[in-house]
Amino acid sequence: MTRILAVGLGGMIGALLRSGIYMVAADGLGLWLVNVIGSFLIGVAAIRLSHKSAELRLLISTGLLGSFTTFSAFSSAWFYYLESSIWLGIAFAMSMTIACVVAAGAGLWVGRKEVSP
Amino acid sequence: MGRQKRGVTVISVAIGGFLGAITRYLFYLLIESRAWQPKVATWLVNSLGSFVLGFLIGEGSLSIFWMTGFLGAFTTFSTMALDVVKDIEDEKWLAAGFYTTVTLTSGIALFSLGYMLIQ
Repeated sequence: MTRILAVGLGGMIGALLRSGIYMVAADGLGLWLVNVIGSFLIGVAAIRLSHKSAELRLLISTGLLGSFTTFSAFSSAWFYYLESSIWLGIAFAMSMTIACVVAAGAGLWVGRKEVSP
Repeated sequence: MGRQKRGVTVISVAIGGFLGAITRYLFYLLIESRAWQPKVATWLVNSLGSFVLGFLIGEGSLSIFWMTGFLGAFTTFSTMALDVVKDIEDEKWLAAGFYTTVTLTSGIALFSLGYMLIQ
């Protein structure tokens, strides 16, 4: 039960932060920001939280960062780009995916590199 | 946006995010109990979430609770990106490519299907 609440609480915070970024960022940019930043942070968390409690990992990684980033809005944006041009749609989907994979890799690298005090 | 409306928006996103993340977690528990790879759960939530969002947009119901709250939290990009990086680090190139291709194509295909369902 604690674990389910940890995921829920993290999910709530992540969704609120995402919605806050949507409000301040220019149209279309918000999705890039949340997905790239969230992917970077989940990489850092995968290293830094690996020896912490399951509840903390569920709160931060599964809950907060899982919810902060989103796939459904990505599919929706991809659909609209595809409607104007198939190549634009494919370029959008591929660049978002590559950016997030690179960001997660950078997060792992940073997590391993800097030794916490 | 008035203060009251903003308050409603914040509460909708908060409750939607809370429930969406928990529902995603339940999928992980279900997949784990069947001893399948967690990736299967990530793929499932992303595909299912894309389908429902497509359906809601096609239907013209743009509720912040479902779109930004529940489905935003139910689906995830970061977990997928991390899984792909882990495959790449393990030099499982084929697995990384397969997982990415399947996730992206099923996401867009199911979103389109949901969108066109009642057109």
